[in-house]
Amino acid sequence: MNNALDLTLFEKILIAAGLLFFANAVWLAAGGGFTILYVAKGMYLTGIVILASQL
Amino acid sequence: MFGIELTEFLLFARQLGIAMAGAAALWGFIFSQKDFHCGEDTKCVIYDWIAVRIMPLFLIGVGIGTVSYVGLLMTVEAAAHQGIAYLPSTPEVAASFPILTPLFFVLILATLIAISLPNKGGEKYANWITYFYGAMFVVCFAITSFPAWRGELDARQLFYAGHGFHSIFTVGSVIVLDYLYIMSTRAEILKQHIFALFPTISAVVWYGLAFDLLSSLLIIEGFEPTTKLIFMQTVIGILIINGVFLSGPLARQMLSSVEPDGKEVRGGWKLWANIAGAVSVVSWVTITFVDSFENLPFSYLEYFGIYIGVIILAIAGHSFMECMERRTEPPEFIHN
Repeated sequence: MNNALDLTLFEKILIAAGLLFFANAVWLAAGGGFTILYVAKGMYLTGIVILASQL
Repeated sequence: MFGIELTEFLLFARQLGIAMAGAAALWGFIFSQKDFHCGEDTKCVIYDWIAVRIMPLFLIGVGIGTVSYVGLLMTVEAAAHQGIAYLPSTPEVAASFPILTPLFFVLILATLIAISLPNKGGEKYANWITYFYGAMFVVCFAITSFPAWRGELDARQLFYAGHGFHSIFTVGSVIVLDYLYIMSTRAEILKQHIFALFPTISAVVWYGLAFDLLSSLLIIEGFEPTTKLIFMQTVIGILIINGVFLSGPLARQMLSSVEPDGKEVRGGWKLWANIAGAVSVVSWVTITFVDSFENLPFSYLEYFGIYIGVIILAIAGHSFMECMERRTEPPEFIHN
């Protein structure tokens, strides 16, 4: 595997947050509430805190 | 047309224009101040050249923002009495004019001075432009922080500020990043200097989105599961995953390509760089656009179809501009 494709922890967390935003869209379309949205935002902000700690 | 009100369109154009100008000023400042920290070598000349080359983007942003603001001044106060209800409300937008008009006056006056100064290729201009960009970033930040004024500093006012100024760090910075990427194709030495700043620009874009997500927590009760919101959540998911790819593996590939023994980015990586760049710009502009209009009549599939169509056009436009830029002569101090 190309080393350039290896993802850092921060990048993995952001991908998880991005996928949660998709899940939230599906959940909202199905009539669900905003719980997944808050989890997605929390996940994203966790990634940002990790990014800040790396700078 | 398509549920688009004139006032909403002018607010969108003002937001996008000033975000572009603010981001151009921010990154122009960062590039131009780099020459204070290096010696007598040619790197300083390149940083200054890049900073001056960002000026057209700044001027386009100021032009769009100013024309839209003048349009708002002529239309919003009349509409303010018609009880049109959207976020922010028309009276709140009108209440921000006494704050924004002096700021626009400073922005326009300083811009006119900047474009009327002689010898733009000279060292004196390059040094002056550092302070100009720094000051204009502050002015643009203030303008985008007051899209509306509620008369008090409550949670919704803070939301307006966070939801406004983040555009400089997100949509504006992504446009500047793409502009710099296209410009870098002129010469290898430009790539070396421009690519080196990509991780910093990416980090600022990530922080900008964090500001927006945090500010939206101030109005949790305002969320409604509309088609528009569901589409926007999808686009946010796309821009985050695309952003990781762009600022991670792709940026690392580009950085390694400009190292002394690095190989030029070609083939699949080159294609993906074009696609990811176009997806990034279109996604951010889409979020800003869709968020500005209350009554867009589209279904989810229509939203998504238009979004994909614009991405395809952007990829074609991106490739065309890159091709044109590659044919442009590099600056005279570059001999490669």
